[in-house]
Formats: sequence, C-alpha cells, structure tokens
Amino acid sequence: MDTAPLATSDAPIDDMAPGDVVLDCQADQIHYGDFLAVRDSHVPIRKNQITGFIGPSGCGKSTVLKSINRMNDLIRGFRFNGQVHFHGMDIYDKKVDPVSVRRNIGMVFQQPNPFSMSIYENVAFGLRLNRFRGNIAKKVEKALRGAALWDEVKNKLKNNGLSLSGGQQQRLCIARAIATEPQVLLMDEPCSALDPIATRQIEELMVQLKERYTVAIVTHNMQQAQRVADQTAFFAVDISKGGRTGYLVEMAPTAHLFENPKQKLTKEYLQGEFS
Amino acid sequence: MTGLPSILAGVFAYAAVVLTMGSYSAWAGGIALSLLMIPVVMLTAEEAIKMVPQAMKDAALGMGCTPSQSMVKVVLPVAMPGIITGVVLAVARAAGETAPLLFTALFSEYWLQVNHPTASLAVLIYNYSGMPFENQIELAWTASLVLVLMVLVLNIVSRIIGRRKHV
Repeated sequence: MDTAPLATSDAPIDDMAPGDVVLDCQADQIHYGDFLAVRDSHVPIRKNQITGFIGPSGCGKSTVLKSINRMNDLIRGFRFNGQVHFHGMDIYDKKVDPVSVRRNIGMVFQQPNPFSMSIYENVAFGLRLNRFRGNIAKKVEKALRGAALWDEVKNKLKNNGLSLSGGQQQRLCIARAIATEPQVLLMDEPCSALDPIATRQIEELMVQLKERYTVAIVTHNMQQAQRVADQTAFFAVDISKGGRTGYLVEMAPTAHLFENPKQKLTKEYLQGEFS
Repeated sequence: MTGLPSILAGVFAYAAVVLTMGSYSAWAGGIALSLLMIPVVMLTAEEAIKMVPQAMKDAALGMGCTPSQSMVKVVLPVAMPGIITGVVLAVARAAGETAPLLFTALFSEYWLQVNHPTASLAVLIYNYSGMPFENQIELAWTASLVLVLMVLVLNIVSRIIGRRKHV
C-alpha cells in the first residue's frame, strides 16, 4: 500500500520557494467513457498560493481538480491523457499508487462530509491511517487550531462530528485534511453548501492556510476567487464539436485576470454576460 | 433466495450433513437454519451499506483509504446497527422454524448435545401438541408462549439497535 515514493519527508518540495510550481497539471484530454469532458488545460499550482478555478457549470473545473489527486479514478470510464507533475514524477505513471497520491494531496469536498465518529477521531483518522507514532492528541489540537475550530470544540471532542453545524463540519473536514500535513490541499466548492458567515470564516481560513500549504480551490463564485485566490484559472465550455467539453481559457494572477483579461470570453464572463 | 421453502433447506442439510455425518445433529439443524437466514441478513446488510452516504465514502477515499480500508473503518461502523438489526430479525425468524429441523436436529428428550439429535422449542411444540396427554398439550402451549416472547424480545432488541445511528 505504501509503495510509491511520494511520501518521502526530505522531498525537494521543501526547498522550493513560495511561488514555485509544486504541481503541474497538464490535462490534454479527460474522458468519461466516450465523452470528452475536458481538453487542453494546463494548470500550474504554485507553492503557498491559492489557485482558484472559476467558470460556468459543466466547464470541467471540478473534473480537473479531482484529477489532481486521482479521485476520478473511481468513476467508470474515466481516462486521463496528460501528466500531473508532482515531486518530479507523473502521478498518472503506472508505478504510482493512487492511494498514496491521495495521502499527499488532501481534499475538501463540496458537501461537508465528516465521518460518523467523534470530532477527535475524525481529525485523528488520517494520522491513524498513516500509522503515525507520535502524540496524536497534540496533532489533533494543532489541526483543529489550524482550521480555526479548536475554541469551539475543545470541550466536546468526544461528540459526534455530525452534531456540528454545517460551517463547523466543513472546518472539521479541513482539520481532518490538514492533520497529516499534505503538501497540496484541494477544495471543491467548499463554501457552496454554507451560509455567508460560515463562508467568510472558511475564506479567512484559506488565506491563513496558504502560509503553510498550497491550496487549489474550485469556486462558483467569482467574488470568492477575487477575494482569496492569488492565481485564477478561467474555464469555459466548448460546444462547437457537439459535446460539452470544458477547457482552460486563461490563467493569470487574479488581479490581472479580473482587471485586464486577455481573452474576450473571459471578459464577457467576468462582466456577467453568461454564467 | 428469500422465498426458499424452509423445508427444502432441511432436505438440503439432511443430504449434506446428516447423511455424511451419519447422524441427526444440532450442527445439521444449525446449518439448515442458517441457510434460511442468509438471504434475510444479506438483504438488510446490503440496504444498510447502501444507506451510508456517498459523501462519506468519498471522504474516506480522499483521505487515502484503500477501498477495503474505507469499508472497514468508515462504511461498516455506520452500517453496523442496520446489519445487526437484520441478524437479530433473522434469528427471530429462524427460532420459529420447524420444518427444516425435522430432518436435521430431529428431537431429543434429553439435554443439548451438538453431535446428536437435539430438542428445539419449535419441534417440541409440534411433537407435544399431537400427544394424547393433557399434560404435554399444556406444555406445548407454554412452549408456544415462551417462543413468542423470545421473538418479541428479539424484535424489540433489533428496534433498539436500529435506532442508534447518526446518519
């Protein structure tokens, strides 16, 4: 199970400076069966930055994000043509075990999905899975503090994770994901099921998280990308060949993309002419 | 399989166990009854596992679980109350079965021995109710009451277990 060499602690990633590309996702073609879902999308993810994926529904932004930690492998008919460079290797290489990819690239989902177990066990889950031998309680506290949840739950760590509110559950999921200190954290519309206050808390949290992690976030909400993302990738749908194929239109530092988009399509989308 | 006539389970266990072991036994009765229980247990277990939200399974895989780890650490604990409910209900159903035991555990007036013919409440009721003596008929009625109460208790237990879930 722990065969792939991704987990080495002295990996060169630690020597990288903020802003260097830690993960380079080159999605030439992503198919679900015969359906071409995404084409020609090259998204470099930079260290200690937040990379935002925006675009209309069905443009493949979630598909690209989930391809990064091979979550799509479980979908029947999924095929990825291209490469995802991480640690100097291609995570789609046959020698790489998808399970170890997922242990190094954390994921937060659209719906808060804590496990039906105590808050403490939720956060300790990844540590136990990786047979962590140190002080688990300390790591759990650190992760919960990191997810800005510690003060709210420190007196009820034994309660079931599902007893928390939606926003707290989502922060619990973030704590669970960062407990094992993944190098990259993927977030698939993490706020779409939350109210505005919880959304704001998560956004503030993301900005704190990028100090220590590299974050990629899919969002429906352009303002959200503008508020939190350092780089933004804009995807659109191409219906010219009959299907609905998503592709990357433009990627740039967020301020550039919003103020001075190079592509006409980006400009139209940002001005709200289609969604 | 749920519609399998219970007497056929008895005939099967008779051929597979009684004939090969050379004697009626509690083992043979147990195998006949468990054949009847399997479909009930399987159906309820399948339902209970399907009830576990896909989001939770995704979370397990996203954390880097192999599919089997996801099953053992996340899915089964959530589905367990449902699975146990199914098992308890199946036990309750098997407790009342007579036909499969007639060819397998048979009956005995003596104490339980797994390698020999063994008494069971259901067969006791069947045998005693046909006797000409008032005493034994009354015993059969009493055994019926005990059996009904046991099934009732098992049903209540399954309700209590089934209620404790957090999904």
